[in-house]
Parts: sequence; structure tokens; C-alpha cells
Amino acid sequence: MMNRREFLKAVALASSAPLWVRFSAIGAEAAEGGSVAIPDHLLLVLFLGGGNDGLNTVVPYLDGAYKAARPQLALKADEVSSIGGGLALHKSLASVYSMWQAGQVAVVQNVGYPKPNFSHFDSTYIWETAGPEMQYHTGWLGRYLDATDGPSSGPVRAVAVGTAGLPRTLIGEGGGGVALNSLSDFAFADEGRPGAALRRAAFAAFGAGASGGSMHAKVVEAQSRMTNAVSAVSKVADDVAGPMTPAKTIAQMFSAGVGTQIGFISVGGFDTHTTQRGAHAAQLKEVDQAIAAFFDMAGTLGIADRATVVTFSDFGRRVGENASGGTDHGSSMPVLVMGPRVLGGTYGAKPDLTALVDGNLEPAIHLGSVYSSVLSQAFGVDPGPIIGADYPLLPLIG
Amino acid sequence: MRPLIAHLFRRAGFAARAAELDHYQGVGYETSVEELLSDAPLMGQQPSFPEATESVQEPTYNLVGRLAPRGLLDIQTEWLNRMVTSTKPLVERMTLFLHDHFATAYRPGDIIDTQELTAQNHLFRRNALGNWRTLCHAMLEDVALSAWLDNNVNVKEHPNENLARELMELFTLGVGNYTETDVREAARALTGYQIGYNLEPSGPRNMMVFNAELHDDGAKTILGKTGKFMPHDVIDIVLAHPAASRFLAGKLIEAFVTPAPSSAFVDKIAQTLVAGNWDLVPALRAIFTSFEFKDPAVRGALVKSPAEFMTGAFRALGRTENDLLQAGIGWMKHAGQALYDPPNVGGWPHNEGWLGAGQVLARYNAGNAIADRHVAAFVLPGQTAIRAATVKGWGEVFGMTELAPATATALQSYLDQAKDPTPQALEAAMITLVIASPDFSLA
Repeated sequence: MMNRREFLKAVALASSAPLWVRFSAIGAEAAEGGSVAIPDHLLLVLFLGGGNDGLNTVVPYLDGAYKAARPQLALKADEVSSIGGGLALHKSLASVYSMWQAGQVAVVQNVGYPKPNFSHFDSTYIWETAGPEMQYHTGWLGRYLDATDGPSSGPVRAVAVGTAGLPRTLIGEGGGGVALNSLSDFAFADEGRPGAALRRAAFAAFGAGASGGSMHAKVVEAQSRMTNAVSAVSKVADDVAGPMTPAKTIAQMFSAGVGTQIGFISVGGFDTHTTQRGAHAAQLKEVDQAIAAFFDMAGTLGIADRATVVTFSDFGRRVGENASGGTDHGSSMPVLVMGPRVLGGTYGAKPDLTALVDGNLEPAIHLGSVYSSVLSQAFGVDPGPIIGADYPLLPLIG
Repeated sequence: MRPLIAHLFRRAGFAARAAELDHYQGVGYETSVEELLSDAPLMGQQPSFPEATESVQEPTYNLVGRLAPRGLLDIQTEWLNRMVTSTKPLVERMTLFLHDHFATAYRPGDIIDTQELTAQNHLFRRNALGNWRTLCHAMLEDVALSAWLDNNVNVKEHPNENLARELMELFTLGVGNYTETDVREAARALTGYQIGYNLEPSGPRNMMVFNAELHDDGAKTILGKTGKFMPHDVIDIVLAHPAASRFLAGKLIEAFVTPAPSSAFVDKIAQTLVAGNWDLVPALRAIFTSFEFKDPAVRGALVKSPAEFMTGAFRALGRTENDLLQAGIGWMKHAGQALYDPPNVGGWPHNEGWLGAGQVLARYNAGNAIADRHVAAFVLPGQTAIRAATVKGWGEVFGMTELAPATATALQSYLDQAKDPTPQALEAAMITLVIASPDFSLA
């Protein structure tokens, strides 16, 4: 497959808009791969959709106030894996616990933002944009992509798999992120059909001679970027055998030499207003399996030592359980940062369950601190302009 | 004249078909504008595009009981069908504008279900070429917007500022034209609405009911005016603010003319709104007949939204099959715009916001699927084959009288070199490529 740049090279245009071009001169063969170096640090963002119950994820299982607030839902010692300091991980997080034991999990406690918003939409928006006043329409990693985009960045800098469209986290002013359901879906629908190569040549030729800042030129540029991204993803798809889970697909993209530095996957089902106990255990298990599968595949591909996973959710949940065996929308949550380069341990104080605001935790660590630490320590950029303020950094990644 | 007519219809009518271009070229530009602004269906109508019925709220009960509620896809497809088949395309284009402006999203767990959104959609359509003040007042009684912005729980004891803030920030004035105190005071004035059951069996199930017990009847000071204001007083107060007319004028110009209007042009349209006591038709007439609109430099200066893109493709080819329209809803979603599900109350990001890689790919693949269906369908008995023989002709099928030189070159080169095995396959390729061209993504 050919992209616009290669096309332009092939026809060696003498003028900006020739009257006719011979597509056969290009041939239908793919041009050189144009592979870029695998980025030094790879970040997978894992979204727990619906509002994860942080207190039953990183559990203060010895805290009297915790047991009192949750007569039905409080987890007991045999339902958790202790990480010390009166805290424990839900038993469903078996792989995460193994990583914890290897010193590869940072548990950042009680993360949130001032004036908690209890709307799924609004609070998720705030977490995705790092804008507690909803002042941004771009995502925090989308702004990172915008700030660091360059000619050698590669065609697919960020990829979301299995989400409904591109998550706001990855949306910037540029077009660096793509969303796919699977590798094979991100393709021209007429690929492989007789004449597809000629169609593609004509499509590429739409961009001949476009320049300047006109809207036409912007569309042409977007189409060229898209063609490059499709070409890059198709090469990855060709190398992958069998169906892939979203987590494994991200690992494949990371190792493909197409410039992918950020991945995004989500696990839903965390809005546990009723009969939370079994449902929450099942959803956390799914999260655990996704994390394990990702590092497994990353290890096979030889990139595990570059990879870090970070979690977030809509919000945490109310401290006290409700009358339906569930929990309602709450405020802050623990954020897990995992991987070989992570400096394992707990960060921040254990939430004080006796000092609640309207039944909710008072957030202690601003989400901007977590994001700024990741941007600074994983990607080596100044986080201030991207996050919009200078938040204290936590030593999460070495 | 013909390029100008084509420009008018791309902006105001989801693009003209070749027969419409012929017709409106004959009647002249000013008359074309008047016909788009009038209540009457457009002339030059293809008989194969029946007018969508102007049905009101669908019944929710029959003799047996409550009917099964329709799903999101049902109402999305219904609206897309209206846009595709409408003989009053500017009404549908303005309905789309208003949906983006008062952006309310499907949240069936929080009252905003298909009935509420359909009712809101009808409200927009009834007022699409009506009066801005009337519409703003009606929005206070709209169940979907009230639930979306929490005005149904905005009560004297616990005022909720959500609607008050967005009313000023996003709907009428814009940031910088009010203070936090104005928001708080307006929220107090907006207190007292509850959602009540509608006893009219053929109507929507819910309606807004004003309960004086829940209303804060004390004095408020909003934008410098003091009084025991009631909810509807807030609308009159904000529309009396000098920023209100410029705000709406700017929004209309950005939607129909240019993303970067001059201040003088905004002032001119704002004055038209005020002089017309907030009637929309004089303002739209002033826009479409302006020098700024006719300036060739603004042609192709806007990126079509996915709704305009899909509607334009279906309209051009006369394709109205329900399953194809449903697929169109899916492509629109991949292209970044799910009707009735805007990303937030601010509506969709425009222009460059539609140009993500997956979004642009969805446009190509939508074109390919429509093309395949079109050429398969028109070999069936009774189907009219909408087709062209030349590159220029294919452009006009899709409402484009002038293609960019590179686009024309690429299409001509394809036509000359294609080895497609049948005429239908060649036509499918041309349709795919024209829809996928940068030109067709621009308005």
C-alpha cells in the first residue's frame, strides 16, 4: 500500500496540479516500511468504566470505620491480599498482587479533584481532560501528543482498542490517536478487491499540490495521515495470528515500529449501585486479566521493560453502602501505576473514613499530580503546560 | 451563478442535486434563498423523495398498554431519514444546528429517553425558522434539557446552577458577559420546575410542571436587574443583554459562512436579529444574501459535520432504504457524530474536530458502502439510475459544480485507467472516490 508522500515521490510532480497522472507508474506494491523506533516508554491507560469502588479495590480491611460503614460489603482478611499498613488488594487482583510483591505497583491513594462531581459524564470528562473546571475539551494525553508531535513521530502515536470511538483522553487538536475495534477493522472497506490499488492511488492523488492553511489542505493532510495509519495497522495485522484481546492488541501496536506510545482500553460494569459484591469481584478479575495479558504479550514481544499501566475511573464510590447491597457515586479513588519501571509502594495517606464530606472521602492527592508525574517521569516532558498548573510530583516511575 | 447556487445549497440544504441546480439557476439566486426560507417545499423535487410526514409525538399507549419504547437507533434513523428526504432542507439543517446548540444527550437512566429527545427534536423543528426568544422560553419547559441540566431538581432549598450557567455561557451570552453572582441569582429564579406525568395519552410521558412551593420567590439581581423574577423572566433578562444578539449571530455565521467572521459582519447580523425581534428568517436571509457569504473565498471553508456528509450522500443518490440509513448512523458515529449523543452540553467540535484518522476513514468506508448499494439497486426494476458519464457530471450529482484541480485530475485519471470489470463497478468506484474526496467533506 502506498501513502501520499510515497505517491508524490513516485510521480515526481513537475507542477502542483497535473492534468492527468498515470497510476500504473506507481505500481500497487507497498513502498518501504518507514518503521520508526519503538518509543522508550510505553503507557497503557486502563479505564474502569462506571465508577470503581476504590475502597473495595485497595481495601482498608482493618479499619473499624470501614467495617461499620459497610456491614454487607466490607471485605474480610481472607478476601484480600495484604499490602501492609492496614491495606490490602481485592483477591480478584491476583496478577496485580504478584507485581506488587515484585515491587512493580504504585498505589496512589485518595486521588481526585476539588468539588467532586457525581455525574458519570462530567466526572469522567474531568478525569480525561485533567480539567476540574471542565475548562479543556482535549484529553490530557491528547495535549501531550499535540505538544510532542514531530516528523519522526510515526503514523499511529496513540491507539484505543475496543472503546466506542476515540476516548477523550487521547483527543487533541492534532490527529495522533486512532480508535479500532480490532486490527483488521481499521482498514479500507474495499481493500483486496480488484482495482483497490488504483482507487487508493486516486485517493492519494487528491492531495497533490495541496498546501497552505486552507480547510481543503487540512482535509488532505488528515486523509494522508489516515492512509498512513491504515497502512501501519495493516502491517501489524499481517503479523498477528488469531484473535487478540484489546490489551494484547495494544502490546502488538507498541512493538510494531509505527510510533505507538500510548494505548487505551476499558473494562466496564463498575456502576455497582446494587448487589455489588459478586459483580465487583468479577469486573476486577477482568481488569486483572487484562493487565496480565498485556504484560504477558509485552514480554513475548520484548517490550515489557518499557511499559507502564495506569488506571482511572469515573469516580470512586460512597463510603457507606446503600440499602440495595451496593454503593452510590462517590469522590476520590486509588490510582494504580504498574510496570517494571514503577517504584512500588503506597503513596499518600490512607483515606480517613471518619472525616467525610456528605458521606464521601475528601480527596487528598490531585489527579494533576499523578498525571504530571507520569508525563515527567515516563515521557520526560514538562507537564506544567499540558496539565495547566504545576502540581507536586510523586516519585512513581524510575 | 451555478457555483453560487451550489454553495448556497451545500450550506443551507445538504447540497443540491443536479436537477435542483438546473432549476434554481433558472429562478435566480435571491429567489432560491427565499424558497429555502419559506414554509413551502422546494421546487424541482424528485418524486422519488417523498416528504417525511410531519408526525407529532408517537403514541406511547394503545388499548393493550404501554408500547415498547423505541431505542436510540430508531430515533436516530428517523431523523436521518427526515434530513435525507426533506423538501425543506433548511428546516432540517437548522434543526441540526439547534441540536448542536442546546446539545442534549441520550441518558435513558436519567429520564432522557427516546420520547424526550423526540419531543425536543420536534420543538427544534417547529422553531427552526421561527423566533429565538420563543424557542428559548420553550426550552425551559423541555423535559430533556431540564433533566440534562438538572433544572428538574433546582429547588428553593437546594438551588442547582447547572441550567443557569449553561443558559448564559453556551446558549445565549458566552463567557465574560456575566458573573458567578449572576449565575447563582439566575439559578434561584429558575427554581420550581418538576417533571410530572403527562396525562395526555398520545403525548410524551413526561412534562415540566411548575410548582410554586419549590420556587424561590425572593428578590434576585440578575445582570443588573432586580426583582422577584420567575423562570421565564430569566430568558427576557439575558436576551436584553447586548451580548445576546452578537452571540447568536456569531454562532449562525460560524455554522453557515466562516469559522472566523469579521466583527462587522457579526454586528450586522446581530442588528438584524434585534430589528426583527429575534425572528430567525430575516437574520438567515441577511446571511445568505451577504457579500461575506457570496465571497468565493469562503466556499469549502467549513468541514461538513458527519450528519451533513451522510445526508448529502444519501440525498444525492436518492437512497432511503432503512437498513442503509441505519448503517449510515453507524458510520456517522465512527465519523464522530452520534445524533442525540453529543459529547457534552457544548455540542460537537467543528471543522478540524472532524478530522481524526478513524473519522476520516469512516467517511471513505461510508462512501464505499453507499456506492455498492447504489449500483446494485439501480439495476432493479423501478429504480432510477442516478449516474453521470463525466467527472464534472459526477461532481454535480453530489452538488459540487467546481472540483479542486487535483481532485478532478485524480478522478479523470481513474476513469481513464480503471479496469473495473463492469460499468456498475466503475460507477461504484467513481461514487466511492467522489464521496471520499476532500471536496465532498467540505461545505
